[in-house]
Amino acid sequence: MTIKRTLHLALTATVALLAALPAPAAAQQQDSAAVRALLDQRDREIKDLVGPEGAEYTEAQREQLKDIINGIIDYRSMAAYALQQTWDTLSVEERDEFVEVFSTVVRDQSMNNLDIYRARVEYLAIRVNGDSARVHTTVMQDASRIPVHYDMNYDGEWTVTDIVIDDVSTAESYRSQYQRIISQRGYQVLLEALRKRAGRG
Amino acid sequence: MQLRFLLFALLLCVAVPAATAQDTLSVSLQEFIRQGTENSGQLEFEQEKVRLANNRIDQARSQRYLPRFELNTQHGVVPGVKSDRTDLSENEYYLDPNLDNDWENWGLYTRAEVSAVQPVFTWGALSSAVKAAEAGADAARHEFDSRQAGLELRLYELYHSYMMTRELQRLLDEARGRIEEITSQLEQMQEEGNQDFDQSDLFKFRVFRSEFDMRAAEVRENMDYIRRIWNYVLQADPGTVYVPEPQFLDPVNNVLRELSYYRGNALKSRPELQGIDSGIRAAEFGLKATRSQALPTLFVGLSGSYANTPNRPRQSNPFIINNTNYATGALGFGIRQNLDIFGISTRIERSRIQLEQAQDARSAAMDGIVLELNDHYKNASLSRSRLERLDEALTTTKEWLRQEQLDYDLGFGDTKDLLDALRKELELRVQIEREVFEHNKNMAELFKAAGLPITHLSMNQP
Repeated sequence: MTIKRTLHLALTATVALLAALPAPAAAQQQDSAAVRALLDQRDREIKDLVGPEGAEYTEAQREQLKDIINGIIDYRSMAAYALQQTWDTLSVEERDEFVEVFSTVVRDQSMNNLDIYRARVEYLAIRVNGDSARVHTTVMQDASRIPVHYDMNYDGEWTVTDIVIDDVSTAESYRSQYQRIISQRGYQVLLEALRKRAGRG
Repeated sequence: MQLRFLLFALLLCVAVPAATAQDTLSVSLQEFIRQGTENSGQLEFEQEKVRLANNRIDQARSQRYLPRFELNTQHGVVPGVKSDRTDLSENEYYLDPNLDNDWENWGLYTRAEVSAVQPVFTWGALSSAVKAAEAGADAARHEFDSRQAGLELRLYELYHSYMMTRELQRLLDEARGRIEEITSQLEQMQEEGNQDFDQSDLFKFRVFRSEFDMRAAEVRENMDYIRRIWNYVLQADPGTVYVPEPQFLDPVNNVLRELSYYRGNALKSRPELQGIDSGIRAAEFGLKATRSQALPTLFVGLSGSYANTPNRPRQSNPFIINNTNYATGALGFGIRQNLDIFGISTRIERSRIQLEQAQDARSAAMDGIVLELNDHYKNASLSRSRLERLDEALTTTKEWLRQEQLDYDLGFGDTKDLLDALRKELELRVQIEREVFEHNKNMAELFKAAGLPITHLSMNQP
């Protein structure tokens, strides 16, 4: 219940800003021009789907939106980073389950505030170094601007491994939180909390 | 008639929106400063001083050519003369001791006298006076530049005040929504008897909300005040609203160089020092001109006089001057020496004191500028450092807030910690906006103290 709705804003922003990111199957080129073209294309797709302010969505449209927005995140890598040594102790099935609930929570959060997908995105710099890239953008929403940086990795396709929103790393935040919960209460408590959160939708 | 009605209706359609709608115009810093200085009564006053100084140059130059050139004329009616002697012609009337006025024969009397003096050699007194006046005009121009630089600095601060206050309004508007929502959620938790609810949290938050409202009211008042000043400075008509062109207030990113750079530039470019240098030159030439006044001057003099009265015959004898009918002229050299030795000596002494005073003023001004520069350099350096520390603190607070939000989302959160983080984040954001303003102001003051144009400070893009 609760204050969470307020809190969802930042979490939503975390996921929402993925709107500008390339589709999993899109990127083969590793140069910045190609990355930029993919980002632009992805941004247009998201904006077309979100439509104007006050638009209503069917369940199918919402799912489609979730897919486009979140399809680019490398949840497995983010989950492994967040769990650190605990990840190594999990079986394949346990890892799959964790990634499943983790991604569900993030996907749900991504739909809390659709306004953010309508924001204008300015690309400041795209730096590609081998199979990794850093994209610097500024999201202009209403009268505010939020610096957003994406860390991307290329392994057959471009995926996002971290998003730094307003100077705060998403992957680092999850890692810090999960490590604290695991050390204080144990992995099962964390998993249970994530399951509960995923169940709320 | 129908056409008149139609035109009237059309006029109403046009006039009503024009009277109610307000145009919003974006103004760049350069344009704001330009318009502000153009509309300044104080600068206009200073400009008049420059015009007066230029007028003194013309006055000094005019003393070099015919400084005295006069024409006097007299006109009237006078009676004629009559003589009973028949053996005298009209141009021999002066030989008749019984010559009488003829009160029945009135005639028009005209007399004109012209005199001119042209200095030939003055021991440099005149050219020194011109140079002193020119140097005085230079000093007046530098004084004007100094006043203008001061005004530009105040306009720069006013421009940035608008941007800062607008940023604070944005922050408070964003925060208001969050505060209202959290307050209602806390109250809802209270009503539902939620175990996580702590009464003291609600009290604390209500106090915070009241403080926030107070601060928001101050910012609103400040914004209204700044807008009024803006309208006055830009002489805006009631239908126009001016706003700063850049959307966001960013710190100027000019590199803070070594103090010696600003000091060197100040000694070279500060209008106050240039004005004092001109003042010293003016005093030197003034002393030279005063000294020259103690020496004799050579001049050429010209004078001519002519009188004519038709009813009074002119006497041809050159030794006989008839004041109503004659013509005479003279041209020659002359020497003029002012013998008021004590008066001249006093004036020379006064000029010498004025020169020493101007030289002392330079030393005093340099001391003042160096102290001022040190002061502004320290302020700029400190504010930049404070800004960096505040940025670090804000980043830490944002991380803290994100943690609290994530914890709350998973059901591990603590209301008090979350509210503390929210509050601290808002406080730091407000503090940073104020510090950005201070930093930009300090940099502008440093630039002015160094004699650098403040428009060379970088501005963020609109």
